[in-house]
Formats: sequence, structure tokens, C-alpha cells
Amino acid sequence: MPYNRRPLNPLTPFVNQVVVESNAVNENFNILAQAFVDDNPETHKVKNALNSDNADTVDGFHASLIPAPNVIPVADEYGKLDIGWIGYMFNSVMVINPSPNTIYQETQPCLIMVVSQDLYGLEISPNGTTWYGRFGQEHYYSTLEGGTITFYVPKNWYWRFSAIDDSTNSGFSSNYWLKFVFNF
Amino acid sequence: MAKFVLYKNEGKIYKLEAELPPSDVYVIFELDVENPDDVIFDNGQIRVKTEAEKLSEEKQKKLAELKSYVASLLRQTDYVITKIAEAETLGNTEAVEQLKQRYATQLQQRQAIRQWNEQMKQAIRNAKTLEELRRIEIRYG
Repeated sequence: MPYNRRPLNPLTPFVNQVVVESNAVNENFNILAQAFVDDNPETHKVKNALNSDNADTVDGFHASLIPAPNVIPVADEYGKLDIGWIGYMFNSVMVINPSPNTIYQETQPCLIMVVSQDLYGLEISPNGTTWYGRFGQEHYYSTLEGGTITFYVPKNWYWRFSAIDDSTNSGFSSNYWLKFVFNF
Repeated sequence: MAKFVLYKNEGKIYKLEAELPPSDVYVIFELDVENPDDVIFDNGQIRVKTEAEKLSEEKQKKLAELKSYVASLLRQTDYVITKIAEAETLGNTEAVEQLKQRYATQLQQRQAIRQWNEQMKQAIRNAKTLEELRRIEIRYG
């Protein structure tokens, strides 16, 4: 029995109409079920979509080798993504002048650096209660030495330090920390 | 008015330039000062330090700074003392005298540094106000 798009004809009665049309409806269900994986519509997966307008998309997004808005990246012949898919590593750089014994929170991941003669008690924390580290450095007072401390702060983490000593001969300044904010 | 946080386990107070989630680990409060060094957790009470307390603390810091500075000055001629001490340990009094003569300049410098150190310590202890204390510059020569 072939597929019949309109098997029910209630306005044109005929003998054994209920039996005949019921069989036609059942056959229609059978034919339609074969369009699904395992002939089972409950899988919610269609066997073939040869003529679908969006058969090459995922959730409506097309794939592309070239970076573009609202497309899915595809690796090139070497298995690599085009460099244009990746944003600049750093979003911005700014000068900060943080104070000792003060708690700061970074809403974006960042790299912070400072030059100092001494730096004590540098710690970072994911939640303000558990603190990691106690980093720092110390140089002899009269040797005019300093060093650089650089540390990474994950997004939304906290950080603090307890003390800092500037250059003894103005060779560098601990009042100008640099904060590189990651493009994230 | 600034926001501060007292960490109960540390007994230490930090200025807060962030939002902390609720926790039993710390207590968040506000005070009409800006510097966390001006706040103290004393006998279970959070309060602003008195001028006398601030002066006393600053004196201790200044004395520690002076001590570190003087140590670094003396460290440059410590080798002289080591040589003389070695000669004394060996009982070589002739060598001791020769070393004292050879390094007379360095020994005089060390003596001058120690005298300057004592004058500076006295000046720090005698300071009556924070302003007076802050005007004392730790720089030899």
C-alpha cells in the first residue's frame, strides 16, 4: 500500500470506510517511522536529510576555514587553525599603584609585575578565605639592588601583599606596577 | 569611610578594594579612616589606633629600618673583623697589631658608623610626633 497524504475522507462515505481508512492511516505511520533511525521516531534522529537547507550547519552555524562572525572553525590541511581565529593575548596594559595590606579582586585574568627592593607577603586566593603563596623578595639596603616580581591572577581571584620597599637610589620605582589584562 | 576586613585566624586587618562573599573566616566592617595600619584589633574590639600607638609603631619600624641599614654598611668591612679575629684565635698578637694598622681607616669608619647609629636611635626615640619622626632621614654620610 503506497503512502497516502490524505487517507481520511469523512464527507464521502463508502462501505467498510472505517476499516479501509484505518489501514491506510496505519500504513502511513509505518512509512513515516522508516524515516527515523531504527524506524523509531522516539530516537528523534532522522536517517537522511539530502535536501535540507541547513544540512551543513550545527545549531544553524556554518563551518569555515576563514575566521568570520558566527561560523564554526575548521582546521586546515595541516590540522591547524588560522591565526585569525585567536584574539590578541593581552587586552590592555595599565599602571596601578596598589597599597600594602589591601585586598584586590581581578574581574579579568591578568599578569601583574612590579620592581622593588623588597616585597613581602604576596598571596592570591580564589575565594578570599584560602590564600596561596607568601611570595616576595629582599635585597641588601646599601647594594642598590632590586628585582622583578611577576604573578598571574586568574579571573575573579583576589590578591594582597603586606609590604614593599622602593629603590634606595631612584633607579627604579615601586609606585608603578604594570597590569596586563588578558583578552578573555 | 573605607571598608576593611578582619581575618579572625590571623587577627589581621586589611583594607577591602573588592567584594568578598559571606564567610565565617572574616568580619567585614567600615571605619572613617583610609589606612589599614590605622586600625587595630585589640582585646576583641576593632578600633582606630591612638596617636601614641601610631607613633610607637612607626618608631619600631624606623628603628628596624635603621638596624638593617647599619648592618648593610658594616657588612662591607666585615672581612677586616674576620681577619683580626682569626689572628687572635691563633694567638698571633703581632699579626693582630699589623692588621689593626693596615685596616685603621676601615676600623675608624666602623666606629663612626656605630656612633652615628647611636645618635640616630636616640633621635628616633626622642621624636614627639609622627611628623617629626618622618623627617628623620636614614642616610649615612
